[in-house]
Amino acid sequence: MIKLVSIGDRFPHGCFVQISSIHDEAVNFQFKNQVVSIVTPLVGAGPFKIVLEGMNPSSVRFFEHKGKSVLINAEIDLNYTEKEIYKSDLDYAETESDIVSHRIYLLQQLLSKSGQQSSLSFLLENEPALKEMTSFEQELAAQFKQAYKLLLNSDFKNAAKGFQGRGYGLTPAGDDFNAGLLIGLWLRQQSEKKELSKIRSCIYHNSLGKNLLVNTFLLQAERGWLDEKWKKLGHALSVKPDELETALQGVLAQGETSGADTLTGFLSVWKIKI
Amino acid sequence: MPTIGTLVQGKYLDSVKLMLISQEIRQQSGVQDAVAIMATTENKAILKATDMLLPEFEGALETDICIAVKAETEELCREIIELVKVWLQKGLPGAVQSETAEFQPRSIEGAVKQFPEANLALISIAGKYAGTEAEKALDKGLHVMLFSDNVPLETELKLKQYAIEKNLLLMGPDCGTAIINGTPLAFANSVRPGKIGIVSAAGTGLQEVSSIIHNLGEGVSQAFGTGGRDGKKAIGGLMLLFCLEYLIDDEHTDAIVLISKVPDNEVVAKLWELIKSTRKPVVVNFLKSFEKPALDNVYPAETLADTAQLAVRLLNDAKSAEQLKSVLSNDSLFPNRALVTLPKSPERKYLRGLFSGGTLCYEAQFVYHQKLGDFAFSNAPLEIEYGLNDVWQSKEDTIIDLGADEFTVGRPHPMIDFSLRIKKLEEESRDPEVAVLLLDVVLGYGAHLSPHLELDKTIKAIKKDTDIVIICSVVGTDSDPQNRQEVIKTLQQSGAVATTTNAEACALAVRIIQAIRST
Repeated sequence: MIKLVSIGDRFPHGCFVQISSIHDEAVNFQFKNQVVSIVTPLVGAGPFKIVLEGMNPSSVRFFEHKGKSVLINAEIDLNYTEKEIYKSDLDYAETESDIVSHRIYLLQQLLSKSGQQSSLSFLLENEPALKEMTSFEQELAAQFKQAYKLLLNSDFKNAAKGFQGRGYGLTPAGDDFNAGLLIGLWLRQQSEKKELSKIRSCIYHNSLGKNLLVNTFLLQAERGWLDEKWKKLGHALSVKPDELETALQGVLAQGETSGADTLTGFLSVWKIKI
Repeated sequence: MPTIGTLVQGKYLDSVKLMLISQEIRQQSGVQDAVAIMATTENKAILKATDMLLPEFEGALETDICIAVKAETEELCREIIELVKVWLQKGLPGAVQSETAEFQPRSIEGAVKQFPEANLALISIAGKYAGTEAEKALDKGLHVMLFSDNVPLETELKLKQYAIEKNLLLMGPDCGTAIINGTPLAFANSVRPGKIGIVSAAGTGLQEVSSIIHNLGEGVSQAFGTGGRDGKKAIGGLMLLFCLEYLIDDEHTDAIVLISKVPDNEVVAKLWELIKSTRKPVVVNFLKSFEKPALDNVYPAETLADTAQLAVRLLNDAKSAEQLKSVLSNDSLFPNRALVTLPKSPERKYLRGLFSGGTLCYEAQFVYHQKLGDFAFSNAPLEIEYGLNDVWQSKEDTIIDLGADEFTVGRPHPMIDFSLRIKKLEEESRDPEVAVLLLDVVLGYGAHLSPHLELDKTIKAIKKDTDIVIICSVVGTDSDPQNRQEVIKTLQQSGAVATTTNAEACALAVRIIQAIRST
């Protein structure tokens, strides 16, 4: 039985016909200047995601979202109610900023223990593991280190540009890092009650590129519209520290290294002097 | 490539032999196109439109045979022409010659004598002779499926009145499909026996609906074709009513499907009156919206897919709605392999539909009209003012039926022979204003056995050179002689989006056009 598990609160209305990529657990559609997805419960909910159960997303050839109904392949009509709408805003509970900072430290320890060696997490350590790297990868790592230095020196514009578009994959590691930075800045703004919107805006505009999927993630991150897994992590950091490790595993499960790269950007925010 | 032709005089061959010869020539290595055809005025017009009207054909008589070959070299053209002359004389290599063949009856009487158990005659001869032969078959107590077209309306009326008097079926004229007692006739699909009865005045409509019923796990008791003119005032819906009455009384039929272009008002009134006499659910598709009568057991459906789905739902009304939803969706939920991007050039904005099925073409225009409010141009338009002046020349959004007479004179039907469709696909793809190409791929008995292999190269070439979106609806079942899954997979790998219903393909095509125009 096909079931609409959730639909993101930012999911636009319209007819979706342009398929930009097809994966085992997700199909991505281009809509105007962004990308929306139909995914399985394994991927989880998000502001621009519809989660379907009982159906392989790659079977979706086109769909229409009208009112509170999603019509797939002109045949499967799925209605939803308020209950199925995924709320992407983080319901941040006020927590002492020092406590948050401590939990961020714990999170970094957990990340380094998780063994995500091929991700950008080496930036958080002193030296990258250069073993078995191709010359391309070595150059990439050097560029990332350079951009990271700029970030620590508060040169946000050039740091964002230094990460932008670099790396393998559908969402390159550098872009994931920038998205993580934006999420982190948003959370730090909440916890430390600092006005960081100019920095966020600077990083956001200098991170945008031609990859619409990346641009969509960046938009989400800049606005604080979080995917389910990130929302759980934010929640764990603010009120449920005992769920930190589980939430971390959820984030790390995204893509090959995508989750770890985003998390590296996120944690880096607490290394910046603001 | 050079085109060389010759005229053969004083030789008459029937259209099937000429079609087979034409096909055989096209299969020769180095040949791009070829035709062997009677030099009628209409055929000459087609030759002109396809750039094969050579100067030597201009003055040809209607009884002459034109042979034209377009091949890599002039020498090859001449060699092939010589070969064709031999084939015209002696028949195609491997063809069964009359002296060695099994006895082939040359008349209805002879056929009945040879096969006295027969209770149905399938007649496919020139229209002007078909009426007489049909009458002879009815005389012999045979049901008749009249495949022939161009049968005069008054002959059709007389035949149908006579058939009803004798309690016999007269399906047609121009009836291309039926499934009687589980036997597929002419262009029909392999559909399991079941409890849904169909009466249809729309050929590929019957194929699409019966196939979807099969694909949804149900089956068909009988599928009667009536011929497209049955609902007209002049015929009075005689066979629609006769077949409907049969299905109402048939103990093996629990749900009924009725498909036709909107019949004449009096016919509609008679149909409602008849439906009133039964409690069986009747799903009605008039290929456009219509006012539902005040009858609880009439279920209007707008697309052919809806028609089949509704019939299956009604048949299974004991099952829960949720269970049914998953049954209904299963067939269409195969993985998609084709990415879809809108053409980059703002010039690319038009839809071109190249159909082999007349009803499918009609449905495409209906979906277009329903979603865009406008009409597409066609050789078989929904509204007369949207008829193409020149059927060979597309205009803005155009949806054409390549199975219509103007395209099939002297050529096999496009469900059998893909050469014209491939030519049209290539031609349309060269038009810088074309954004979407929409086509049907009809499987089943009588249809091409490997349509995907015919289309594969062309689709790949179009996708390589352009960013036109190509959408194919595959009509048929997994039990058909073709391998439906293989057809779908190959089309997807070629770069086309494949669907299992025409309605979905049309809706997708129209939505893409809408998306292009809104950007």
